[in-house]
Amino acid sequence: MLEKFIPISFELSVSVLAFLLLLLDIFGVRSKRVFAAVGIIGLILTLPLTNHMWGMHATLFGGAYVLDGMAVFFKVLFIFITLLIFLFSLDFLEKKFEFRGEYYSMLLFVCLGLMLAVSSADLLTLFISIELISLPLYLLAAFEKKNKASSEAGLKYFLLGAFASAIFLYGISMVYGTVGSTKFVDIITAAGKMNLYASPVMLLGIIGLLTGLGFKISASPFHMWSPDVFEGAPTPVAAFISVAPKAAGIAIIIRLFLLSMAAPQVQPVWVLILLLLSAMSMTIGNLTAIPQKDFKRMLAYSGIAQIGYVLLALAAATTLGIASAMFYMILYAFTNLGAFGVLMLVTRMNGSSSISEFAGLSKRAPALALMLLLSLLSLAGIPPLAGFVGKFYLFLAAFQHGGLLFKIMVLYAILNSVVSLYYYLGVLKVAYFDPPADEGTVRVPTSSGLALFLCGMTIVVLGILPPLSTWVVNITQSMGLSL
Amino acid sequence: MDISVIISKLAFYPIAAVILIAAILVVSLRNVFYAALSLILCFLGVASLYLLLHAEFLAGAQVLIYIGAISVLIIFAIMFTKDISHQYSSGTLLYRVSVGFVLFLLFLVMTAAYLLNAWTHAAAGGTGVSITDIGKMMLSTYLLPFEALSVLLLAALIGALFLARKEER
Repeated sequence: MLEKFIPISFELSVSVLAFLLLLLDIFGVRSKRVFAAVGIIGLILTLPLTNHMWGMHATLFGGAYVLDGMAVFFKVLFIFITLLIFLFSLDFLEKKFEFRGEYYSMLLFVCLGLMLAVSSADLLTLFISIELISLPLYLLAAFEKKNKASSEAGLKYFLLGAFASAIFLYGISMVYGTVGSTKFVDIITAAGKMNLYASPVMLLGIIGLLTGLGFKISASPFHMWSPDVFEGAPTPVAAFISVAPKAAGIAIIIRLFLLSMAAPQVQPVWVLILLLLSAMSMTIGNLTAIPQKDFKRMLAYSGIAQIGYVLLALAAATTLGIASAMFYMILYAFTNLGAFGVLMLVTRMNGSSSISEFAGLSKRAPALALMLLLSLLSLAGIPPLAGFVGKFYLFLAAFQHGGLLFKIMVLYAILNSVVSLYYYLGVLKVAYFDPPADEGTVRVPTSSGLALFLCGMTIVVLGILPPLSTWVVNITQSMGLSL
Repeated sequence: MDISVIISKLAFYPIAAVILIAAILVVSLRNVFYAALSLILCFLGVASLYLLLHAEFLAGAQVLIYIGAISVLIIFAIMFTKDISHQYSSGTLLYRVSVGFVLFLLFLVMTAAYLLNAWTHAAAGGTGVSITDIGKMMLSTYLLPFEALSVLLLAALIGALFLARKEER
């Protein structure tokens, strides 16, 4: 009897955990540390479930839900991301009165949405899970009620996000009108027989779907919201928004386009759109990041550029492309969370996120400065670190595709990486060579320190152990690229 | 041709006209209160279209939720807000013309696509889906989205309460 629930056991346990935290609040638990501790222990306890799910290929709810290697891979990644955010929040929340139990429940609701989204094999389920990711995130962005910037971030994110969801839904309706079903299995069959000249609405549908997803992964030209939201939202929430929806969006693009619309009749359409998004994201992300004075805004633009690199590999539509994108999402998550974590500890006292806050960090907190060095160099793609291996595989996947357009794009992406080095090094220069404005050392609490240590270890280990990336390729191949 | 088919074909055009006119009024009326009332008219038109398509349950839900709840909420919000009749400028003339031009192009592209498209039709001659079918589907085929939706609503509810709550300290 219980076996039936194994494929959805991650979702079940995370929702139980979310409700448990709400109940704790009702039963009068007031210590924020208890909420975080229960959440962290609960999340760690779900990890052994992977054992039962690995290698499983199950389809549930009449084809609306799929559990395969890729789904498990991303679900475990989401658990780790949520764990790290819990660890960061533990210290961040201490000084904030308005953050209570519901903050952690909201994080878990987002985690539930992320898990459902990577398993959705039906457009309707997909739409609702994307909403389940977005809605709590809008609220979390506005959680600092006394801070005007936070409210503004929440409102901006909500209005633009609702607009993007509407376009996504419109795209769904057009695909449904042409295909006659919302299930990915039926889309595969219909795409194989489709003649786009006779079904131009399918074209508009694909554009609508990619517009909605492009917003969620903040790919240019749908990125306008992300710098403002990052700047205003509480730092742990900004860190969450910077990695989790992007990883889910990449997984959705893989399942919906690379796996479901792989038929040559429709493939050129979305490949072209992905290339366009990729080129724009790289250009706008990197060039706009250079003049930024605020670290969160800079990370927002750097994140836009990073998504551009991933989309380039996805446009190649090969197994290596999928594998490299999946590998890149792990290291991007840990690297970005590392950078945000350092910022959170350094600026916890005054709430500012200006780059000048890092002045003299190497003297005030050598460990934090080292962590900043590791994550920024990894984002820039400097050799011994994970970012280099990740980018190498992304570009290799695009290069192996063979087309001249792809070769030019790879050259352009490498050029962009060089440009990005400029602003990453600019921050490091402030941290290592500028005189500190404030002589006091920065206190590193245990939980945040542990989270940062995890991030740093991952960045180094994924970088010096290339077999790990071949491991991801093997997983992808064993998935058999099927639904 | 069956008489009911003729009636529904005849009824479609006036209803569609009402929806379109009401929708244009919603975005063009300067008085927000009148715009909200036009929105109700627009929703009513959509509900009638559902009736024509034999989707009685959907029509009922449309009236209950969109007219009964959402529009009333909008009207409440308008009445509770000060200075709502303030005239907002909608940009320079050049801006308005260029936006109008882009939207007109979009309109042309979409109309062309819709006219040329080979649509997939549902089984012809059906009398629509009954409430029983919808109920069964919600608890079988669409169980997962249905449950996810209830979690989503719960999250929205808690979030709204959190944002609206006055801090006691």
